Amino acid sequence: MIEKQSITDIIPQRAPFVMVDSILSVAPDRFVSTLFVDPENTLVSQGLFTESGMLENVAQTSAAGFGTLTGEEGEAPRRGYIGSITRVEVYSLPEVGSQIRTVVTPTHRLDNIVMVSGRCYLDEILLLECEMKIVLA
Amino acid sequence: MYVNDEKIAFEEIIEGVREFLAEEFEIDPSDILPENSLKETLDLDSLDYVDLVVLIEEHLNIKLTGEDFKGIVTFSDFYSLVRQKLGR
Repeated sequence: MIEKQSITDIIPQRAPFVMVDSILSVAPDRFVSTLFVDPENTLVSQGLFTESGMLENVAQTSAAGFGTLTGEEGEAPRRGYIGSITRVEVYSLPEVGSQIRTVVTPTHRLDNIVMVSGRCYLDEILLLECEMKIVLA
Repeated sequence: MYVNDEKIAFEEIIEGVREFLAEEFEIDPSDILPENSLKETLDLDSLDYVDLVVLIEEHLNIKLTGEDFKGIVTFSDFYSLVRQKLGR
C-alpha cells in the first residue's frame, strides 16, 4: 500500500489538489486506490464529491499506478498527464464522509500514451466510469 | 466481421476498414483513397492513433504497436500492414 505522503513522490499534484489517499494495489493490468471525501476537499460542492473530483481521482490513480510500475522497473517514476477523457458516465455522486474506491484498468498502449478504463465505487455501487488517455512524460 | 473466415476477400475487409474509419473520424469514405495520407486524411494527432489501434483491435482482432506505424504514410501502406497482420 502506498500512503498519501508517498503518492506525491509519483504524481505532480500537491495539496489541496491531491485526490488519492492511498494506493491499495498496483499490477500491470489494474490499479486500485481509495479516497475519503473530506468536507474540506476542494472538489466538494453542496456536500457531494463532484464529477470533476472523481475524474481527477481516476487520473491521479492512473498516474500513481504507472509511476509505481516504472519505479519498480528501476526507472525514475514517469509522470502521467490527462490526454483526453471520453465515455464518461456518472451514476451517482458520493457524499462527504464516504470513502470511494477507484479501479483503473489499462486497456491499450501506444508508445507513451495509455488508454485506461476507470471506475469509481462506493462500496459495490458504481458511481462513475470513463475512459482516459494518459500521456506518460 | 469474421476475419477468420477465409471466404471473406481481403478487399471486403478493406472496405469494412474504410467504413469504420470514416464513421469514427467523421469523414467522407470517398476521401479514403489508397494514395492519400492516413495522418492528414483522418487528421490524426498522437492521441488519435490510440483510437485507431483500439478500432483495429475491436474490428479485426489485430494488435498494433507504435513500431508498426513506422513507415506508414498512405492508406495503401496501412492496408499492407493490415494484410501482413492478418497473415494474408
